[in-house]
Amino acid sequence: MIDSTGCISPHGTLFWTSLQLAVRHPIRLGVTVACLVVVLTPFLVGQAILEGVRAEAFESVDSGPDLFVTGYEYGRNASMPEKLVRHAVAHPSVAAARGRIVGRSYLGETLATVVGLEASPGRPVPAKGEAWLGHSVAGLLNLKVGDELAFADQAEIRLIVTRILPIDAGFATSRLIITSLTDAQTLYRTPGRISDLQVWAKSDLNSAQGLLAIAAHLRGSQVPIRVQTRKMVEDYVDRGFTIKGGSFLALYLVAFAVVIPSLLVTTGFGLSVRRQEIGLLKALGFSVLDVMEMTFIETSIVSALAAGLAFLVAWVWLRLLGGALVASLFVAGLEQGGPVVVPATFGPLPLLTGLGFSFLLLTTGAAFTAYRAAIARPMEALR
Amino acid sequence: MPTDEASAAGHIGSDRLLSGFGTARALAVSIFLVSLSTTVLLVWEGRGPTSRVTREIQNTLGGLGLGATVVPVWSHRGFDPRLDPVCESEDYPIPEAPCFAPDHGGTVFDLPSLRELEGLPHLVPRARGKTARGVPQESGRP
Amino acid sequence: MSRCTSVRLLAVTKVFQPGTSGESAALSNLTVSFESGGLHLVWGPSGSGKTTLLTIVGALDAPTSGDVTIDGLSLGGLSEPELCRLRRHRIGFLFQRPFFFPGMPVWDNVSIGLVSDGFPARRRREIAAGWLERLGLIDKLDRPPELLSGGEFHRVSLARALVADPDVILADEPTAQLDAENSTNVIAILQERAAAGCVVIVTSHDPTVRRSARRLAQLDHGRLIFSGEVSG
Repeated sequence: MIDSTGCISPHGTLFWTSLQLAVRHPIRLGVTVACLVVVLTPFLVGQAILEGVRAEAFESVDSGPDLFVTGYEYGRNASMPEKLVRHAVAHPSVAAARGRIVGRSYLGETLATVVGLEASPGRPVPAKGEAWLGHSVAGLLNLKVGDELAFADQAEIRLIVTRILPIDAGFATSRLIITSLTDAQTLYRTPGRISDLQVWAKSDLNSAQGLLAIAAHLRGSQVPIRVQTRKMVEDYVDRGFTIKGGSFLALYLVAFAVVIPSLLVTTGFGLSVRRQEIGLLKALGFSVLDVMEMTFIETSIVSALAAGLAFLVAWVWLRLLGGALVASLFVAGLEQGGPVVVPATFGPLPLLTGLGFSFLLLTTGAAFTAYRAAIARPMEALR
Repeated sequence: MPTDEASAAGHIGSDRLLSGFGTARALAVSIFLVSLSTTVLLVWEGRGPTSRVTREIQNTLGGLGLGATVVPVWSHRGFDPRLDPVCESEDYPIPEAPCFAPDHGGTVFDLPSLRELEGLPHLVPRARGKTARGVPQESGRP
Repeated sequence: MSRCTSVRLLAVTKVFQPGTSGESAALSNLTVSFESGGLHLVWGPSGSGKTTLLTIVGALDAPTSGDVTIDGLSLGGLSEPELCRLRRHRIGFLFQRPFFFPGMPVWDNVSIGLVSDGFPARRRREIAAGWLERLGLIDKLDRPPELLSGGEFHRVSLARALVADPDVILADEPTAQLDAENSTNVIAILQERAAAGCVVIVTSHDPTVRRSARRLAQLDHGRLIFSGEVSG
């Protein structure tokens, strides 16, 4: 035997040798990584948008009232008399109540959501005759601060744009026209009526019993109403995105099933060349564990590279390219135009999931061939 | 082992050592750079999913918008189910069939029907453990 | 350090594809010994079992029956990890058909067997350079093997067989595709290793090798026809 002075851990030398063996077939390596990136990138984009939408949804829930009240007619929501606000405030458990109008209106070809807000201390809203515009609708209507907003079928309504919401104010606000409650009532010809009532309970009385009491008090007004609590809303938002996300994931597994055969080929499943390489390693004294360790290192390297590249591509695609061509699959209404920041949140879990998928796929292809060749006699593998 | 010949070879330079490792090192460096970039971006993204101005506007609105829809086209259900629990397209033209509403059925994300959730109010954790936001002064009607 | 190695085959039989219509006995009840101190030539026509004998001695394949011992150590009784260590440290094999890793430089191909022992790259390159210089290939140190000629390929393969300073050197047609000068050099190296206490077993049709061998084992259809000193 030769002098082994200066030897280091075999795991270190096996690591570098694994890298060398991986780069000996650059085309195969490139194709494998490219396949994985192509499959993983839309998955990461979709997951990021899902998390972004979910985050903004919970922001909306958190900002909402303890009780959300709407009128109820023919099994659908209906408007309510504004006096219900005073009725709500009269209950001792109610900290505050506010009426609101949320409706739709077309301005030319542009559909916008109109929100009429009642003024309250510490919460600035547009004054009568003023309007705040979402960034997208301002762009579509080519309006800026100081311009006049007119509604075709309501000549008596003239609103001055006093604020344009920034582009990062949330995608749900991008097509809003926010006015005073009075202006919204005039716009929809519903004086003295609101579309929903927001009720906040006093903190020490914010319990099931307290909310029940408030709801019973509101129903005592004889106005047919629907009452939703914040917890109800949280529950169905959480459940909803989970369900649809599962459908998305199921579709994605189908995509993986399509790409699996190509990956198995590129990773050497059944490749006689790979088998011979392993046979040669065995002939030169590599053990089964050495071969499997090198296979594991190679698949880990390629998985990490592919998952990382897919993440970077997804990030650039969403953050820098605005999710072009893909965001409208996940968020409806984007195709109608107007500048909107696509909601997206990149977290570690989808990346780790993508990494796990890649590793599983690559290992399935590579480990099977490697193990079969490694446990065989070297000459059997070399033939 | 002719170690004396090896040391006498002379022209075994350290630069030559890299010839076989050039591409392997390039791969290792690539992986490192990709991992570093990914980590930096993940940390940057971790600063919070929503911006300050988003919270401010939602506070002003009292919470609006829950679904993956920019604007309600056929119904408010896809935009914010609180506003309208029912998408009328769910029952037309084919009841219980997939919804044709572009703001509801036109995305892979959706929220369930509220019909099965209507009922008594549940215990409400105020703002999920944080100080309540958007609550007007507790002095009665604002 | 002096060493004295011996390799013994005891009633070794190797049957390929047993129990099928393609069944063939490459070796039949072969008993032969190989000692250090000189070249052992395994001689015979094509298909006589020469390569099979080498692969079984080199622990690259297992006999159907019988046993192989190296310095009294039975290969049949070794576990897989022990066989791997044996191949790595005590056996050097020169394949008739060269197997290499394309794209990896020659020095890396030559010394890759040292990776499992933790030899760092710099050290492996030095070790490989020593043997490549002896074989007149020092200028090919950093080239990929696919750029080598047939003869250079073969000499690099020999360097790989010698790099770990093995006790048993098995060379299948070591002078194939070599000119006279290089053939002489290769034979000289093998004789030197034999004199240093290694068991050197070669198969060859080259008359130069036959003249340089000390002992001859002649095979025919897997059977040992003759074993003894080389005459003339």
